Amino acid sequence: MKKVCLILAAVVLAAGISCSKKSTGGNPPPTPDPPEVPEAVYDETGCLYTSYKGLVMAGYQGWFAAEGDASERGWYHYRNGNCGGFMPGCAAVDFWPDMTEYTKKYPSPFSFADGGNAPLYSPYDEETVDLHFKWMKDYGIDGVFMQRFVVEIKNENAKGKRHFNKVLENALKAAKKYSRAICVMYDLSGCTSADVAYLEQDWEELQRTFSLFDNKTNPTYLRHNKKPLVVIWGVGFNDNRKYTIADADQLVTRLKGPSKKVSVMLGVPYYWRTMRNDTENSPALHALIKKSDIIMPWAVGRYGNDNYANVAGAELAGDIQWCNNNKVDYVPLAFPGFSWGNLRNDPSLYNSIPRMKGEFLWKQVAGAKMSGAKSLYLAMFDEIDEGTALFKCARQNEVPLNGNGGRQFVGIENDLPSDHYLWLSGQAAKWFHGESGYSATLPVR
Amino acid sequence: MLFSCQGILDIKPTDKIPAEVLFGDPEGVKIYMANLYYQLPIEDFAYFRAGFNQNGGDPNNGGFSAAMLTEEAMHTEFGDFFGDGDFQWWDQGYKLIRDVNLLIDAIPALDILEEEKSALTGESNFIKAFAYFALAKRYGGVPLIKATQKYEGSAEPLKVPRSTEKETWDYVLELCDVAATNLGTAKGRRANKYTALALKSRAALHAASLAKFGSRATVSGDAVTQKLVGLEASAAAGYYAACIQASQAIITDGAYSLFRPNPATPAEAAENYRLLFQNPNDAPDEVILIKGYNLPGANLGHNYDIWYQPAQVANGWPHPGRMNPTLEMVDLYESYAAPGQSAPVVTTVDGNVTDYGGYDPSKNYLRFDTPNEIFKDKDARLWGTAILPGTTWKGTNIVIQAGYVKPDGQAVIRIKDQITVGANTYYTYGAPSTTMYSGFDTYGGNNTRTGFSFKKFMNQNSPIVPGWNQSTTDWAEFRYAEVLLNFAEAVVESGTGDATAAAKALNDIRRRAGHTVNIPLTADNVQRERRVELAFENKRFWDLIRRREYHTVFNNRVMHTLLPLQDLRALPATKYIFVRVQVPNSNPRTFELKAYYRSIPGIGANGLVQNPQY
Amino acid sequence: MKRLQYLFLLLAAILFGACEKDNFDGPTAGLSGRLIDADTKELLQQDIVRGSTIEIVEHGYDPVRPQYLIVKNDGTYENSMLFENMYTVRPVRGNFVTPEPIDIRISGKTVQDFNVTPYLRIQDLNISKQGNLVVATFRLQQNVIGNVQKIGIYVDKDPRVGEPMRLGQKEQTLNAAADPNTVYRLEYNPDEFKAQMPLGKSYYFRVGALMSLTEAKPNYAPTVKLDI
Repeated sequence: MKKVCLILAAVVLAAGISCSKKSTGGNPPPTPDPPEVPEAVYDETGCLYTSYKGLVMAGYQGWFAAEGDASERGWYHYRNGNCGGFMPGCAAVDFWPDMTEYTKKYPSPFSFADGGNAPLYSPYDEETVDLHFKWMKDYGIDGVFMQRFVVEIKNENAKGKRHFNKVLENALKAAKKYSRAICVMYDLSGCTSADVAYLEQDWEELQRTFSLFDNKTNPTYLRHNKKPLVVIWGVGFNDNRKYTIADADQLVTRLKGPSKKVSVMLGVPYYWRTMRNDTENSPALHALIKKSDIIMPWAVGRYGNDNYANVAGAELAGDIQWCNNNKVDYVPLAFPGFSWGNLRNDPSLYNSIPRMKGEFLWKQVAGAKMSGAKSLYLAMFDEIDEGTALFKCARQNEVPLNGNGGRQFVGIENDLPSDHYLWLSGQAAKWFHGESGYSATLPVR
Repeated sequence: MLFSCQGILDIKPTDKIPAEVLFGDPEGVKIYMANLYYQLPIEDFAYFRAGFNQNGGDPNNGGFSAAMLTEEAMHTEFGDFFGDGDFQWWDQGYKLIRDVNLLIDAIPALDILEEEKSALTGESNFIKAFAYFALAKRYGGVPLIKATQKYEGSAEPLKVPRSTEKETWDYVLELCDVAATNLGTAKGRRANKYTALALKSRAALHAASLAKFGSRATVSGDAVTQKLVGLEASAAAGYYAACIQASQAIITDGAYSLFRPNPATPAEAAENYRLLFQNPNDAPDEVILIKGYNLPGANLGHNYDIWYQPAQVANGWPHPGRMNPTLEMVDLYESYAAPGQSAPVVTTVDGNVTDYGGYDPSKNYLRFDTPNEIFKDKDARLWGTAILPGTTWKGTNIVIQAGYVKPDGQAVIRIKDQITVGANTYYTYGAPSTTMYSGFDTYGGNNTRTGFSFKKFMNQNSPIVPGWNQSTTDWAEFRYAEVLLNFAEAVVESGTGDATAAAKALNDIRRRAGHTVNIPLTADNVQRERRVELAFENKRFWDLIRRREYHTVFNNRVMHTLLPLQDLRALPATKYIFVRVQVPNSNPRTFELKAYYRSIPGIGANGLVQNPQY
Repeated sequence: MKRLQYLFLLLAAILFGACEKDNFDGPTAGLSGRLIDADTKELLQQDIVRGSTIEIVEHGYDPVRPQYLIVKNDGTYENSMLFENMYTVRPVRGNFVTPEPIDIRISGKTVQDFNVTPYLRIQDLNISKQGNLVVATFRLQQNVIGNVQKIGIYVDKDPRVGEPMRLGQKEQTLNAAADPNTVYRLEYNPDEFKAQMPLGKSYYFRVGALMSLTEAKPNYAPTVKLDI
């Protein structure tokens, strides 16, 4: 009997201890209210894109360089360091651009079957970026997010920074000329905590250099919630990044500042809501998302044509409902297919997610639409390393040769015109603009 | 040694005789083995909703069999469907697994020949595989107790969590392989190599189907996210291949064949088919494993004859006639005139077989000379499975009539009535008193309400003994025809394997049933053949489960009846017409998704993750 | 013998103790609420059998068996027999996008509504008698990825008619995404079901559509009463 009493006493004691712990932990000292700061106000007169709502925009890598262009970066991003550079049998790209309309071309180390050289472009050239934006206008894509890799624009990487600034300069000019929306998208991949902090410095510099927020100079710079939009991509991924959600949280707080200078879109992992699979299981992620204005979950490679309905069906509608309840805007992603056999030096990865002549892309467009999405992010306009490019690419029977070692280039399906995916992207934009006649059925040209 | 009579030897090895004493004597091992066989979850004549071996204690369960939860049959009275506690086999399963693990532990130390040890190892693993198969198909992933657990003062280490469903099926197949490798080929009433392969064929097909068709019925919950239930579609190929491999091993060895494979006439085929089930011991070429019921008595005999033979032959037993094959089942059988498709019973000139609106004097009914002429040309197995109206059983004309159409065109249906026309008196149920007919009168719940009574497994040779557990018909647990059908299904569903051999397997079975025209190997043909050939062998239930068809087939589902009516407008000629209607006094039934898995008992104590929606 | 007595005493003590422990007060609290279409703000129509459920998990027990509350045809639910406590509450297995669970304290008469997105909305519905037939035309708005498994018009003597509870029906299998540009049409023939529903009386008609999703329940338009 005594023993029982003792045990009971111990239990009571333990309960008492845990309770008292809780109560001390539950009463943080009151923090003084921060001084009231007036919210930033921007003149949006003449601005063409004051909200992402209703828009279909693509990502724009702009990271290629050609041997002989002014960037002095060689075959940057066409080359593949894992197999020795850029030569038949070794490349970083799977798709090959359809070069027909480019005015400035550079002969490449690759040839067509007929022996003719297969030239390439460099986005360092103004006329090239101009052409890309002309296509966006011609086919009706609303605009692009200019990718800005923090690790490539650091001060110690002078050529890298010069490259991305020049491409951005070209793009801002073309965006204005063709009335296309444009927005800066920082990619945190590869960053350390310190790099994340550096981003703020770069962002301030960009605003000054390009008068980004000037409604006259850049009337098509994308705005959202009455403020210019900036995107931070790569928050909450569980792939052992060297920065934390807390770093990103601090960054967003600083970018917005007490006067809420900007609106922020976060690029988050696909399973951000349920915090599993590709997502770090941390409540801090949801807290950060609630602070931001838009989220865009990264869907590339998360599904293919066959399991799209299963995978996205379980996520998308729930995501949108969550965002509606938490007053955050939501932008789903769609991509035409995936292929990175050359980048990964593995021929089994050619066409690893087949395009199905646009069926796959359209399935996602329709899925986004029927799940209640108001805007769409297309990955990507010019991404030929991973084969998600939407712009004009050579068809399968038009690609150059790629050595004798079982390497090849992947083309757009032979019976399609090379602008098929641009056209289809334009159709998606029309649907999102509210035009009628669209459904889950792939539109016919 | 026959494992049939071992119920009385329900040895409790660990508390009565020390293991070493029991296993030290080869005779002790035999007795122990017999008890393990007795515990095998064989879905036979004593298998009902309350579980296995329901032939002792109080066996009165109304004769409500698993077939009555499928489209095969209706009970004369009950309209029940799935209950959460039905068809459970959990505690008994783990008891059998514990018992067989004890034997497996003891084998190495036994003072017997190596080949005897090998045989015991094979048998033990067969029993264990059979047990885990029975668990997996009910519960999905289950705790795998691969060896004897030792209690060392705390129950916690003995609590094994559920393995995934994939791991569980893989373990079943692995045990089958161990059994097949260790077992010989001698035939008898104990497992041999082919028994183990037949089990593997059945289990692999089950797993393959779950993987292929799982997406037809998805559920949610912890058990799903932890993969305790559900298989990936990608797993289907491997399981189909395992089924093909095991089935083909039996087929190519040639140790078994179909019983009487080439009948001269459909009538002969029907009789052969009936004989196969009346006494499977007479068909050692086809039957791979028999569970025997050698003697009448509690825990020995069973109750199929008293529950299911038609009322006219009840011989004083008060509750006959409970098995009513449905019109759906009868429709399914092919006509020899049109091979390769089911042949619904056509009752009207317009040929409409979906009109269940009841008798209508304005409709133009086909008239027949006998109450069974309408089934002429139907597959012999219909005649060997069901007792059709106006056919002879045990020397008695089985009268199944629902009413008549009076000369003025008004019908009297399912009402006890009589009418005198000229010199003759006619009775709605075809005869004046309850002892003289077997259909439609609700008297005692003894008369079929679908228009059909039951023949398969029934003992035609002796009168019903009006008492409990008096039937001694043996049960064929594995037979060659099922192996052929498993093989054909695995080939056609996977699109791999020898399609020619699979088509031959399908058509060999049909040939044995009197068919002379070969039909192509298609998924539909295989399923129809399977339903017909294996009818009432408690296979359809699992086919609906494993192919995830139950919720589609049973969605507000009612079954149907064929009403045979004498048409007195034709007098003086004797003519019959037939009316297709919903089974009288029946309600729609719907299968709920949760019933694809049984609920796991005792979650509070064993701490296991429960199956979805329980 | 003495030892046995002790055992009995011990047993009695345990039993007695157990009785005391179990002498809790009866349930005093209740939870009720509505499932509301987040866009139209209308109640989300349900089935009375095999319909959507509200899962409630009481805090403080492990393992804990969730309880499920039935949602009525009109989209409301109520259970007045709960113990006062913290609960995690979430509508599940329904005809809507499953919302995030919420933790609430249930005491007295607690009300908790849920704004949810229905899988499908049946719009521009018209049900009318045309000759011998009852014809339903409508559009489908789909709010989630996947295929519409089937559409149907369900008929019963009971106003709580639905896919699981009907005496007559006309269904059409779609297995395709809803086409916003299509007017769907179902023709119900009362003759086919006159054995269960004699002609010359009025019956309840309800149009439903079922998404092909895990544990999905059909979405419905409001019930219409018609003479046939």
